[in-house]
Amino acid sequence: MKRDMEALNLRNAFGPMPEACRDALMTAARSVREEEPVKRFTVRTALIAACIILATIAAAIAAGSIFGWNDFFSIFYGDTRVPQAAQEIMASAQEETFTVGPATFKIQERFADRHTAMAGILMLTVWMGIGFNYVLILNAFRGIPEDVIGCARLDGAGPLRMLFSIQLPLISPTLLYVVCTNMIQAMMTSGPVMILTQGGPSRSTTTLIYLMYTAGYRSANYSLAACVSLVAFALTFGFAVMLFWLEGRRVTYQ
Amino acid sequence: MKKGVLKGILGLTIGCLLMFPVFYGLAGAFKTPAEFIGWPPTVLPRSFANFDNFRAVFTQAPMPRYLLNSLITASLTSVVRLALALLAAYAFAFFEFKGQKVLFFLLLGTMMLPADTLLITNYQTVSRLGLLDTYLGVCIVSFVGASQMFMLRQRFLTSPTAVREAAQLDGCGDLRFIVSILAPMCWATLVILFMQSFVAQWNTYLWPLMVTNTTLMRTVQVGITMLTTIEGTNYETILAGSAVAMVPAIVLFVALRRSMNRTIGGGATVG
Repeated sequence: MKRDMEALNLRNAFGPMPEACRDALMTAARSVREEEPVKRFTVRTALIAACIILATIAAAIAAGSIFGWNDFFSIFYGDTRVPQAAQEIMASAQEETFTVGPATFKIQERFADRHTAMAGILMLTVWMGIGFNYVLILNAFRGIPEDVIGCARLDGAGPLRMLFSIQLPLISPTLLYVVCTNMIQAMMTSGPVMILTQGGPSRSTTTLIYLMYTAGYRSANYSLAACVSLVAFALTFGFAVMLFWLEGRRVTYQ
Repeated sequence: MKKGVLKGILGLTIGCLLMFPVFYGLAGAFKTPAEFIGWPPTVLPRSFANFDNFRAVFTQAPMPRYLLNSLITASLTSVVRLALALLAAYAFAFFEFKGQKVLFFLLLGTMMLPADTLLITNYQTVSRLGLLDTYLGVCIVSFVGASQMFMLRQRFLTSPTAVREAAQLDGCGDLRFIVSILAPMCWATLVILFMQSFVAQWNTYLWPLMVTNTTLMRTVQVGITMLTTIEGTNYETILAGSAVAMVPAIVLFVALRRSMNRTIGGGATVG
C-alpha cells in the first residue's frame, strides 16, 4: 500500500521540472476545451445543487411547520444515523422490482432511463441529507423567543405571515448555514453516482466530482482531473461568495 | 381533535417513507441467504428469531474490537473538533481584526475541496509523521471542521451582544466567558454538532481503510466490508454488521436527545 502511494507521488513527477509542469497545465487547458462535456456537467451540477437545496429545505420546513415543531416527528429522523455503507447497499439492493401490497416499484427502470436516472440520484441524496437539516432547523425554530411569537400573534399575524415575516427572518442565520453547507455537499456529490449508476446511462448522471474521480483515478489523466477539481472549487466558491453577499442583505442577526 | 388525528396520519406516512430503507435493511439482517436473493423479493423476513447473520458477524471478525476502535476515534475527533471550532468561531463572531473575512473564506474553502484530491497528500503527511496504523493517524485529518466552526459562528452571532458586554464589565475574561456563559447558552447547538461529527466520523470509510494496516486497528465500517468473502458478498451478513454498527450511534442519540432540545438564556437580557 505504502509503496503504491509513493509511486503516485505527483510532486516527484512535476516538482523538479517546471517545463513538465507548464506542459501539464497546457494539456489540461486544452483537454478542457476539447472535452466539451465538462461545460455541460458544470451546468448540470449547479442545477442538482440548486434542486437538492430546495428539496431538502422545503421538505424540512414543510415537515417542521406541519407538525408544529413538536417532538412527534423527531423520532423519525433516523436516517442520519445509518452507516453510509448500509445506506448505499440498501439503495443498490432496491434496483429491482418489488411489491408492497398492491403497489409495484420498478426502481431499476428509473435508473436505466437517462431522463429519470438523475431524479433517482437526487431522491437518494435528499433522503440522506434531510435528517441533519431537519434537526438544525428544528433547533433554530425552538430558539425563537416566546415573547416575539406572542407579540406577533397579538398583533394578528396569521400562520403564513408568522412564518415568512417573523420566523424565517429570525432563523435566517441557521438557514444561511444550511443552504451553504448543503450547496457545498451537493456540488461534491459523487458517492451515490459511483455506486448506483457510475455516471450512466449515456453520461446523464456524471457530476463534476465523479468526472474528476474517473479521469484521475481510473484513466490516470491527472491534468484533466486537476482542472475539473479546480472548476468545481471555483464554482462552489463563487456560489459561497454569492450567498455571503446575500447574508449582508437578507440575514438578520439579533 | 380531528386536526390532530390528520396531522398524526400525515406524519406517520412521511415517517414511514423516510424510515422504510432503514427498516428494509434491518429486516434483511434477519433473512437467510436463500430468502434474501429469492424472487419475488420480500420486505419482511420469515422470522425475526433468525440470528445466524449476527452470529456470523461476531465469529467472522473481531467485531467488539472494531466497535471499540470506532468509539475511540469518533469521540476523540468530535471532542477536539468541537473545542477548536468553539475557539475559532468565537474569534470570528466577536473579534474584529484585519483579514477576518479573508481568513473566514479560506476556512470555508477547505470544505469545497473534493475529498479525493486530498487523499494522497494527507497519506504522505501522516506516514511521514509516523502515525500510520495509530488512532491519532485516523483522527488527525478531521480535527479541524470548518462546517462546525461555521455553524457555531452563526449561533454566536444570534446571541445578544449585551451579555458579552455585561460579562466584560464584570471583569470576565474571554476564556471564562466561553466556558461558563457562552457554551451553556449554546448547549443545544453544541450537542447537535457533537452528534453530527460523531456520526460522520463513525461512518467514514476510505480514510481509516487507507491509514490502518492491522486487523486490530480497523474501524467498524472497514470491518463490515471485511465480511465480504472470496466467494462473494453476503448482503444479509453485511446488513447484520451494519445493524450492529448502528447501535452505538442510536444509544448516543437517545442519550443526548433531551439536551438537544434544551434552550437556555431566553430571558438573559430582560431587566
